[in-house]
Amino acid sequence: MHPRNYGPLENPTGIGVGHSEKSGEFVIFYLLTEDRTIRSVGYATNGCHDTVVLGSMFTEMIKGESLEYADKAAEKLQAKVALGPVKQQACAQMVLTAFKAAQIHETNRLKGSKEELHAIEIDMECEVEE
Amino acid sequence: MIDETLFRRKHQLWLRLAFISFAVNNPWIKKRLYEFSLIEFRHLKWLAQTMLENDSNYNYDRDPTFNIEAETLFDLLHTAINEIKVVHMFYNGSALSERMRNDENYMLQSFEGYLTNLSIDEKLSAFDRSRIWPDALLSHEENDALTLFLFEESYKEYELIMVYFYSQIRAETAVQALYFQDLIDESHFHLRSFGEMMAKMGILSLPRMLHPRTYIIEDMEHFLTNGIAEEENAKEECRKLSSSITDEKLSTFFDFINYQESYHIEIMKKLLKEKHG
Repeated sequence: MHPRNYGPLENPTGIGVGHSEKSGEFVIFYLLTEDRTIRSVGYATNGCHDTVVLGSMFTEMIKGESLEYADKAAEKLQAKVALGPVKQQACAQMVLTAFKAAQIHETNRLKGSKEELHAIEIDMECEVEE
Repeated sequence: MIDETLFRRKHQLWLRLAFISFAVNNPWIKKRLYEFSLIEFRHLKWLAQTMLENDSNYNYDRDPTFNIEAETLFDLLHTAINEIKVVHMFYNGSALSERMRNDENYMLQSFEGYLTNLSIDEKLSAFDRSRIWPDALLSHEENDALTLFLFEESYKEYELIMVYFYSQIRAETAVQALYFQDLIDESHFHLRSFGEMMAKMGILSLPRMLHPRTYIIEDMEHFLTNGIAEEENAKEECRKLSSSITDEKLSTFFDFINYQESYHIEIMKKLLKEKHG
């Protein structure tokens, strides 16, 4: 398996985490933007393969695009997986929450925040019975 | 110099030797390579202990270009030989460095011996992506289920080895360290079993890299409680696969793994008790 954009970035402008306190699963998202364009993107997870695949797909979709485009792509992905199994919805939520958290981190840093990353807990779990 | 670059290279060398052993068909070489990989894992443990004592940082990162795929056994051996030679440039005059260098000199001698004495290079099918289980006729659905299971669980076993390894080095009592060793040994066996199955199907690949959030454990109790839930999940995955696969031999194997997971839960419960005295 060779997921795209897997692993951290050298000098990210934003780092976000979507995590489930209950299961211990997380997605960490690295953003490098310039003039509201995503120059580079990376992610890592200890989650299941659906999470890895969704992270690979989503990062490929938004790399090189504007943040506005990326937000719309996130909405579309969420709508698409909402039609699928609950497990995939949880995996997508973890990826998209991490992306959102990375954007928040980037904004906070611009305002002078020294936080290393921004983390948001999600209310769904990847390991669910279907 | 004993530093995080050496640790990274030794981590990669352990993985390389283990995965070459999964890929190779010659039973004698396979066995020998796996033994060498376990020696490398012990080196890694001693190295981590030394670095912790010296307050040196290390992590489980790997070079982005690190790869184990090749078409023939000789190609794999040449890569391993080069990797060992690079590792040797980092060693200093310490007793640990001497031990590691001596072990690896013997490995180098063995690899050179294979290259000289084997008249035919073995063409490998471990990476050909054929996705066919050669020992039984599986349906399309069974094949898909087995493929997904092997990718998912080989990563999980690697993750568990490295998480337990991190905690073992930092164990507070000898009993804790022993329990972690049991869990590491068990996961080595599972990783080897799944890796060899992946090689048979032509889908052998490295597990993805671990992020520090995965293995740096700040709340051991929470980690163990989660770990028990994760083992339950692994059991369930084995049970599902075992019941969905009609081939009796494969099904029996997954039942066997499932029962092993049950005892992991007991070991983790003991660790939880040990933690509370």
